Amino acid sequence: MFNIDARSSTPIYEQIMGQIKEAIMRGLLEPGEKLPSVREMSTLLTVNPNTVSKAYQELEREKAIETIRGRGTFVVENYQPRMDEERMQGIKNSLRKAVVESYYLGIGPEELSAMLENAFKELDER
Amino acid sequence: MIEINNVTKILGGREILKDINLGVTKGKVFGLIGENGAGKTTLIKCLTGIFLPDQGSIKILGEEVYDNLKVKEQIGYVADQNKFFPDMKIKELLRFYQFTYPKFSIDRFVQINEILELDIQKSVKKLSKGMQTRLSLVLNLSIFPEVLILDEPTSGLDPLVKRQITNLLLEEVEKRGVTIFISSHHLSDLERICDNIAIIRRGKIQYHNSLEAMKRNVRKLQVAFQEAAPSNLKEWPGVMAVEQLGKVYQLVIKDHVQEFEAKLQQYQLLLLEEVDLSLEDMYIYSAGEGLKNDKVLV
Repeated sequence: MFNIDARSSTPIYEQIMGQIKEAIMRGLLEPGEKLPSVREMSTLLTVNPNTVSKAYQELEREKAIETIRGRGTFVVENYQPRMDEERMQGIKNSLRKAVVESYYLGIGPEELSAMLENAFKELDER
Repeated sequence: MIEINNVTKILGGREILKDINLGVTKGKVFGLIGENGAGKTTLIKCLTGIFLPDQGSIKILGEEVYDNLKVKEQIGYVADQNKFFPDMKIKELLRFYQFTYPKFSIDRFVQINEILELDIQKSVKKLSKGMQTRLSLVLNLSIFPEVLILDEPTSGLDPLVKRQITNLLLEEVEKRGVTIFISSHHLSDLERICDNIAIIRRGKIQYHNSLEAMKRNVRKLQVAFQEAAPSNLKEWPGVMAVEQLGKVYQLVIKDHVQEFEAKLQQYQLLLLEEVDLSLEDMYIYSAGEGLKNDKVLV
């Protein structure tokens, strides 16, 4: 489920945070579901446990997950995703890339919009 | 946990280490990188109390390391070339470790050796280099060290074993709060496991920071201008390296990324994107091989 790219410019703890949030949004992690412990996650990804802790702490601060003493870390029951400046920029960038590629393939704005709408529909249906 | 203060070491009339200052706090993983002959192994030999620094002090657990048995018992050390008594069988070596290290646990040895699969009936001299590294790792993990000092520990190991060993080390950090000082050429391995990184070059620490801050503060951008590129691009805020390929400029920018991007907005751009900058890139830029400007990380 998680895949860390150590060579990326995005710090590893942010990659872990992003991927957990994504897993929650896509329903791969459900509200109330238990997350792997810091040790398990650190072994799973072969990354420093301090880094995993940091990701968990930040996610807790953002109220995406909660730690219950002696029981572990869980996805919160009603997670409200927040607008994130940096991720917004990321989306803009990947959209721009898609637009450039479409342009060279002769795909116009209408066709691309239709594709977008379709993608949203597919998400809703799930 | 580890305090290196103003350490200078002279060997054969040459200053191998020049005024080194580094600190590692408990439970952190520290990575030391540098080219061959930069002084990595010399620094590690000072850390483990094999060499006495000519100036400065090295303290582990608050005490000077040199000639200090009490501290040395707490240090696990995997050298780049591991010298054992060649005619001993591994099981005899285990007895030796039992005498030498009070915390040595044969149970722990057996437990880890399930992964590394060393035949304890074999004599040390019959082991290949990779096997000797494995042996050294198992032995040094079996003494329940407070500090682990590893000199190129993963060289000569196959990827599977490397991964298993890395996980073992990380588990020690998580469970027991072991402090790890590791030197390696395998920068992508370090990138996954280190909290802090230092680059050593010609006996001096050239850069020292947390990996996270390093990644945040040093960025690489690809830019192409519609018109001619500004001629003074090199003097723009934070620009540390410029590489040009046709219309496209690759720029390494330190500390002033936002300022730089703001300035770029005054121009018509064909392209502006961020490219991943790995530890390896940072290292190469700082070593200044491909680039004339080598002050990237200074």
